[in-house]
Amino acid sequence: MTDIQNIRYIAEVDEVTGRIIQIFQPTHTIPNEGLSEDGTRRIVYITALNLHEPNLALFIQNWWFNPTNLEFFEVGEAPNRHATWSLSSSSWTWDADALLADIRLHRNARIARSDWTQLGDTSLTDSQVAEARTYRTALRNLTTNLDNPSSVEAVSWPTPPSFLQ
Amino acid sequence: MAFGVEVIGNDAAGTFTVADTDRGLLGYGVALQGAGSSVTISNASKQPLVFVNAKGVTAANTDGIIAVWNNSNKTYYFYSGAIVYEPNSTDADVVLTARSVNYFIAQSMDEISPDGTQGYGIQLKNANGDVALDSRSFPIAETFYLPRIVPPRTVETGQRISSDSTDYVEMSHTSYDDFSTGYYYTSTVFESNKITYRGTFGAYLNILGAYYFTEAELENLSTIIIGQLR
Repeated sequence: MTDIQNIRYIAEVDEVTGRIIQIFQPTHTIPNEGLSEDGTRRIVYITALNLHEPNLALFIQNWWFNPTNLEFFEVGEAPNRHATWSLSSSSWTWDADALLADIRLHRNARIARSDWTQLGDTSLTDSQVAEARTYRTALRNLTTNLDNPSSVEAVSWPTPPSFLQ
Repeated sequence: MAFGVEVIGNDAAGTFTVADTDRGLLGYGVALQGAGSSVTISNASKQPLVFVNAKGVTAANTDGIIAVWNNSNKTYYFYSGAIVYEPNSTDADVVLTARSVNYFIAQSMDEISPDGTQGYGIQLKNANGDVALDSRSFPIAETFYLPRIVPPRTVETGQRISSDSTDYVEMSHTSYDDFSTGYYYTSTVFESNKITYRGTFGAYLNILGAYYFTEAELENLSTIIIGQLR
C-alpha cells in the first residue's frame, strides 16, 4: 500500500495495450489505485521509486506499462505515428498502408515545392531545369521501390538540386 | 495604476476593511499540472490558460506543438502538425499527430473549486463579489510566474521566444486552419537549447490556368506569454 504522502504523480494507463495515457499531479481528490470499473484503464501511483523519467512527456513517450507485473518498462520512441507497442511480441507494430499514405503525402510536398522550377519564366538554366525534372521524376517513382521503411524519415529521399535546398 | 485589493486598516469594530479599487481583479492559480496528449478542465466555464513545455518530444523541435481547445468537452488537445499535400489535387493540408507534452493549467480563482475540507487561510473578494484569491484554491503545490512577455508582431518564424528550454509557453497564439487550397499553421517549437516561434501559410495560386504552390512566413500576431513553475 502506497503512503499517500509519497505519491508524486498519478498515471492513467491503458490496461489492454499498456500505453500511458496521462500523468498528473495529485490535487484535492486522489483516485484509487487499480483498475477502472470497466476494466479498460488503470490508475498507477508514481513515487520516487518508479518515477523513471523526470520529464513527464518523455515518460509517456518512451515508457510503457506491463499490466502483468504492474511495472513500467522503457521501449523508446515509437518509429512512426501509427506504431503501437505489442506486449505479446515485444516489438512495434503498425499499419503499413497508413505509413505508406504518410510517405506519399510527404513526397507530394517535395514535388509541390519544386513546381516553380518548371515554370517558363525563371532564372534557371536549361541544365538546372533538367536537373529539377530528374529530381521530380525520382520523387514520383519513389514509392515503387520502397523497402518496408519504419518511418517517413527512414525513407531514402532523392537529394534535391542545390537550388532547391 | 490603482491597487487591485488594498487592506486599509481595521474599523471601529476591529474588522479589517478591504477596498477593491480596480474592479474585477482576479488572481490566477495552477489548477492542474502533468503530461498527456490532452487535458480536461471539467469545471471551466471560460477557457483557461494552458502553458506547455515539450522539450524532447517527437517533432516538437521541427513541426512544433499547437494546442486546440474544445469548449464542448472542456479539453485541450496537443498536436504537432506536418504540412503535406493531397495527391492529384491543389490542396495542402496540416496533418495533426497527437503528442504528449508537459503542461500546467492556470485558471482564475473564481474557477478553481477550493478544498472544502481545509480551513480558511485567506480569501479576498473583489467589488463584484467574485473570489479574487482563496488560499484553499491552490490544489497542487505549485505556483507560477511570468518571466517574459513577447509582444505581437515582434518575432518571425524561427526566431527565439525564450533562451530557457525549460520554460513553459502559453499556447493561445498557436492555431491551424485547412482551407480548400492551402493551410495556415502557427506553433511553438521546443528545441534543445531554446524555444522558437513558427508561423507559415501556404496556398495554391492559379496562374494563367495552372496551379502553383506558394508559401509565406508569418510573424506572431498575438502576445506570447512565457511561464515558469516554482
